[in-house]
Amino acid sequence: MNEQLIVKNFGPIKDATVDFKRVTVFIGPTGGGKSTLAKLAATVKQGKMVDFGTSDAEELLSKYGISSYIIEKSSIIKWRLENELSFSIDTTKDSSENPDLEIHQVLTEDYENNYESYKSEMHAELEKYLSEPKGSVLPASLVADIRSKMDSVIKNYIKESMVSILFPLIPHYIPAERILLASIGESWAGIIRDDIGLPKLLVEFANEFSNARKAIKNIKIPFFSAEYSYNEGQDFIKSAENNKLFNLHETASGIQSVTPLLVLLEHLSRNTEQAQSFIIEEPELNLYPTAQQGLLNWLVEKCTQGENDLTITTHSPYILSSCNLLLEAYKVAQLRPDLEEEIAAIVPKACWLNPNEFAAYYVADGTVKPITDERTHLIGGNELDAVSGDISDSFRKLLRLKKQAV
Amino acid sequence: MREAIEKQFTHCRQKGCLNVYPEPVSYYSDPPGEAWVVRVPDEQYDPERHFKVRNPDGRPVHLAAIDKCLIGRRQPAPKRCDCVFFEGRDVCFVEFKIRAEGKAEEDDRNQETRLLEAGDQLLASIQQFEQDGLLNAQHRVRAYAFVGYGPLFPAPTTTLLNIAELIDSEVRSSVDFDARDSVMF
Repeated sequence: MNEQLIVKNFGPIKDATVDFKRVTVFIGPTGGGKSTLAKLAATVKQGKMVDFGTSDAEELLSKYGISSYIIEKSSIIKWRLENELSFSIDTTKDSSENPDLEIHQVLTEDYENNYESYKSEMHAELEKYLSEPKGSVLPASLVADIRSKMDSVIKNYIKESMVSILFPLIPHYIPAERILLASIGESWAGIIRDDIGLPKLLVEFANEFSNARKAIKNIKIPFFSAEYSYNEGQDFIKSAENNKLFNLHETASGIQSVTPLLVLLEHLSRNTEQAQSFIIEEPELNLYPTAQQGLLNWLVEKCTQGENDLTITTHSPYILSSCNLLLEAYKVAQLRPDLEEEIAAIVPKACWLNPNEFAAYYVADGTVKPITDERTHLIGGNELDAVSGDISDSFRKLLRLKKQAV
Repeated sequence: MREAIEKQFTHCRQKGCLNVYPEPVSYYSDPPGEAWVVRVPDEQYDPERHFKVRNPDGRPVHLAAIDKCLIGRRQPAPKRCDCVFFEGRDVCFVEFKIRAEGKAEEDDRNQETRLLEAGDQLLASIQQFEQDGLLNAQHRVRAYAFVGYGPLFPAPTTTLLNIAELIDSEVRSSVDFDARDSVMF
C-alpha cells in the first residue's frame, strides 16, 4: 500500500513529502532529518495518535525522542493513504482541546459520517425496543445510561475500524542503539528493572528481542556462515567454519550488532496474520560490505512478505548499490522471463525488488529529494557517490601537486 | 565502419575527423574551445588530461572525432560524446569530462555531475550510430567516461550501475560502460 507522509516545520524538517513504498530508503547527512522522518512514520503508523480528543501523541513522540521537535503553531504532520483517507496533527489550528501539546487533530469526514450513521441506526433500534410492550417500564436514568454507553461503544468501534483502515501495518522501529544489546548480555534484565534512563526505543527493542529469542531458539545467519541459538537464558553463535560455540557477547562486533536484529525480525516476520512495517536505522552498522549486501538481501526477503514493508536509513553506498542490484534483477526478469533461473543464480528471486514498490530519498536542508532516476527506476546519481567523487578528485589533486614543477 | 562513417558524414574527410593510429600506445586530448579530440605527442602526456589507447598488437585503430567534427553542436539536439575509437569489431565511445583547467575548485563541477553528463552524451552518440546503421550486432561496444583518471576510488558504484542501465536500456547493442582513463585494443 502506498502511504504519504507530509511534514512541515518539525525538528530539522522544514517541508518534506515522502511516498512510502514496499521498500523505502533514506540517505543524508547526520542530523539532516532521515531518522526524524523514519521515526515519524513509525509514530503515526501506530494509529494511537488518532484518539479523537484525548491524544497519546505527546507520549508517542517522546518515546521516539522527537517530542521537542514540534514547533509551536507551525508544525504539520499529515499521513495520507492512496484511498484519500488522511490524518494529520497540526499546531497551526486552535489547540484549546489539547493545551499541553498544542496539537489539534483534524478528523476525517469519514469518521464523523460513520459515527453519526451508526449512532442513528443504533438509537433507532433502541427506541424500537423501548416502544415494545413490556411487563415493566425501564427507569429514565437507566435508559439515559444505556444511550451513553452505547454511544461510547459505537465511538470506540468506529475509531478502531478507522485506525485499522488508516494504519493497517503494525510498525516496529529498530534503533541504531541496538548495538549495545549484545555487549550488555545477561545484565540486560537488571538494567531494565533498574530503569537507568536508557532510550525507550532501545528498552522496547531489548524486550522484544528477549521474547523473540525464546520463540525462535535457533536461526542460521547465511552471510556469516554462522548459526544463532538460545539456550537457558543465553545467546550463542556457532561458526560453520570450526563448529565452535561462542557466547554472543564474545563474537565480532558485526555479529553482535546484527544477531538481535535478525532474531527479532525472523520472529516478527513469521506472523503472517498481521501486516507489519519494519523501520530500521542504519542496518549496515559494524558490518563488512559483503555482510551489508547479505543483510540487505535478507531484510528484503523477510520484511516484504505479504503486505509487510521495510524502511531503512543508511549511510552506506554498498546498501544503495545493492538496492540497484535487486531492482535490476527484477527488471531483467520482467524482460527475460525465459532466463529466470540464470537471474536467480545471480540474485536470489526472493530478494528481487519491483521498482514500482521502491523509493529512495536524500534528506537534508530541511527537505527531501528523490534519488531514483525516472528513466531507469534505479537509484541514480546521489550524494553518497558524490562524496566518493570528491575524495577521488582531492586525491588526484594531491598526486598532481606531488609532480608539480618546483 | 570507416566507409560507413565517411558515407554518412560526407564532410569528415575534408575536416579530418577520421584518423588511424597503429602505435602500441597513444594519447588523446579534448582541447577547450572549438577544436575536437586530437592525438597529443607522447612527451606531452598528462595522465589527468589525456586518454590513453593501448594497442600492443599495432592494430590500425581509428579515431573518429564526433563532437564538434562529425556532429556539430546544434541545439536543442542532445550533446554527443567527444569521440569513438574503433578497429574491426571493437568500438569504444569516449566522453572527456575532466576538471576544467585553471578554474578554482568552487567553479568546477564535481565528479558525480561530470559522470552523469558523460552518461547522457555517450548514450546519445551510441543511439545515433545505431540509427545511422554504423553499429551492428557484431560490434563489441564500450562506452567510457573519462573524468581525469581511472579507476575511480572509492567507486561511485550506484551511479555507475545506473548509467550502465540507462545506456543498456536505451540502445540495441550490448554496451560495457565504465569510468576509465584508457582503453585496450
